[in-house]
Amino acid sequence: MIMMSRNCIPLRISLGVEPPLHLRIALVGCGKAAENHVQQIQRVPGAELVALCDREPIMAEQLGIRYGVRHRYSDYTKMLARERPQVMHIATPPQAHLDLAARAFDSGCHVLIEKPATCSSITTERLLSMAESAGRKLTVAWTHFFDPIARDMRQMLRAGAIGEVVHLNSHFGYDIAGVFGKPVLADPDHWVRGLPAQVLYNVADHIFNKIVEFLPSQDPVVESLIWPSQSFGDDIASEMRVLIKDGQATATAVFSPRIRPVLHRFQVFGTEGSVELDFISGVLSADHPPRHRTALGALLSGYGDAWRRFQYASRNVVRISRGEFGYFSGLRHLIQSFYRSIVQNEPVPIPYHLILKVSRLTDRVLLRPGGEGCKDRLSLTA
Amino acid sequence: MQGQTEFDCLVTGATGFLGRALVAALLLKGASVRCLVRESSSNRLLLLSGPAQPSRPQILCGNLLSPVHTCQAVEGVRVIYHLAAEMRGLPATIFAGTVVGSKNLLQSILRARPQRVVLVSSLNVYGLANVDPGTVVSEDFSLDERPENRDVYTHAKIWQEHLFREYLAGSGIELAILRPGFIYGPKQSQLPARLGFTLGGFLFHANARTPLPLTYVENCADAVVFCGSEKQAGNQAYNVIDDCPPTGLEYLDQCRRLARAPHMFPTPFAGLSLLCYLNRLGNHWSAGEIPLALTRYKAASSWRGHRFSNQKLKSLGWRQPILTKEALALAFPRPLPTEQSVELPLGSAA
Repeated sequence: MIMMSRNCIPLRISLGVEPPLHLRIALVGCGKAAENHVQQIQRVPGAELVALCDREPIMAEQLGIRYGVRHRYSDYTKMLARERPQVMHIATPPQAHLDLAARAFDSGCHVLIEKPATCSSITTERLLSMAESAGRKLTVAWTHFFDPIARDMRQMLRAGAIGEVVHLNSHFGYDIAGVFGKPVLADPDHWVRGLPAQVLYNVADHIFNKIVEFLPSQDPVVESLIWPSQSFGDDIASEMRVLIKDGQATATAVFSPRIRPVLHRFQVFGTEGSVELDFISGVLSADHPPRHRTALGALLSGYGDAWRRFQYASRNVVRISRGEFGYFSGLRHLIQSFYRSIVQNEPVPIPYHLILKVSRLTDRVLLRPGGEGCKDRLSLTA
Repeated sequence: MQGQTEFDCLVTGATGFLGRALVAALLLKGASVRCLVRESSSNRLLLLSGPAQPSRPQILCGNLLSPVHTCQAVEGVRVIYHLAAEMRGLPATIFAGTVVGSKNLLQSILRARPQRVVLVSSLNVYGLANVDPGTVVSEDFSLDERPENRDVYTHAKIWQEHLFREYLAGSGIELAILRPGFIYGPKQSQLPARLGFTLGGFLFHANARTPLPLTYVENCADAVVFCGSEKQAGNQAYNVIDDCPPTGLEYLDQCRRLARAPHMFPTPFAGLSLLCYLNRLGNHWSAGEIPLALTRYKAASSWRGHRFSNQKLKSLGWRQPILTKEALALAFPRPLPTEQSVELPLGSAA
């Protein structure tokens, strides 16, 4: 059910009970990302997480014990052969994605893969064509792409609430002392250090996937600045500013571990209004031109803005009571949509051309032609 | 890397609160010490600049998750003090840092064959959920058999203990396991978990009048050194707690003097049980979005006023070098009264 407020901010609340999606699920890679997958899989009615696999048996064991998954493997081939899962969640470092996905497709599995899909657009292209030739479905864990606020935004934009899109801004803050940043800093051999542009490459999907659905062409104009910040150390490029122009629309993307508070926002500026998505608080706010251009109008506009934010935050109370609010609620929606696309033979939740577009944009921003790492780019801003 | 040199001991987790005190204590006893520290650790320089140290430790930068590093670290070492554990972060980080890291270390230990391994575990490993309040807990009590129902850190520590026993059984390498209570000392900003449940700057304080199982950081370091060298200490587990510890209220009073204490609500166990129930309701209401941070099992394990015995360690002859009263004075120094502050004469600053 979709409720539309006076300010065109919709609230989606699923009142009907979803039919159970009977599928046998397995997961490979029991690290940090796996925890979120397991939690969300277990909330999908009918989905049965039958097995976990990690090359380090302790990691599969701990996750299995805590979430009641009885079958744990350190041998991926053995798990595929014995468990015959219908869906494979791949939550390993991206360097292993292509190989693991290929073997899953060979075994007849559909695949949900953690972001980034692979380490270059060329391998992402191969991955997508492998899925198509195997006749299996593939999707990438773009959690925030399916956050309730992101879905509400699409609803608003389809209803023409802000007119034509003029500019987009994707801001992704990062806490280097946080649960994801600290292990990367602590370990020079951490798998993130082995990615082409390290931390930036690992989070690029979160930054660019919000933008690409509004860019019409495959080949936008892209300018970027990347440099290391003191907080991460000289060997890690960690500050990024990107300017993109595609047709009449432009976009900026900002990644910074230095800005406080740590923000995660997306803004869409249109010809008739603008929207801002705050992924930390889960609040979507819309701005429209004030009705009265007087001092009183400006005053009321401030109260109006506060009132709309209050209303939206209050609606989140309803969402939380239905388990539809939380930092990873978008992942659950994605998983559920993906499973439904398998069971009911519907289109995949993320069109493949968007996955490829993000991968190509990431390459263009973070890699030089020839696939070299970002270290060479640092001299651009020296 | 001077891997060929013989070292008396290896300390993992050397840059931590206890680790720094342990390294200082070992150096004072004239031991040659190798420390395995993370390259990113900002505390590693502190190890080289400790006060009144007769010698310096060898710093080996590495990570327990790398078998190459653990092999280098244990080479030519007589006693291994394993303190390293991941206390914070996501569950995967805690298990990897604490359990997988221990497994790598143990595999290296079996090849290098040191004389003794001292594992610093935790007093939280006991399964006390169904043990009567006020019971005195000794080392004979069994470990928690349902560790997954506790917090992730405790789960990982229990697993770590099992792993050490399993790997070293029948190897001929002596294993001493130490289970310290809450380690306190100067600049320790954390509060003992056994004080109660903390939520948003408020402490729901249980068992205000029960003695807290505490150990002053230097006393604990001394106990660790003792168990590394005492002949009789091998193949046993020991609680490490100071004598005459303060009650929860007394400890909070000390904290309050340094403005470290949160707002406190004295809460009987029934009150904590009610909080557990409300947490469970919230968890159900939000379909799991509100985490189940507080369960009755956890509450019963930690806040039913159990007492802990240190008799086993004392029966070997260990005595805490700093009395509890003195230790509390060192940990919570009284600020100088303003009227007694010394005013320097003009011009003397130069």
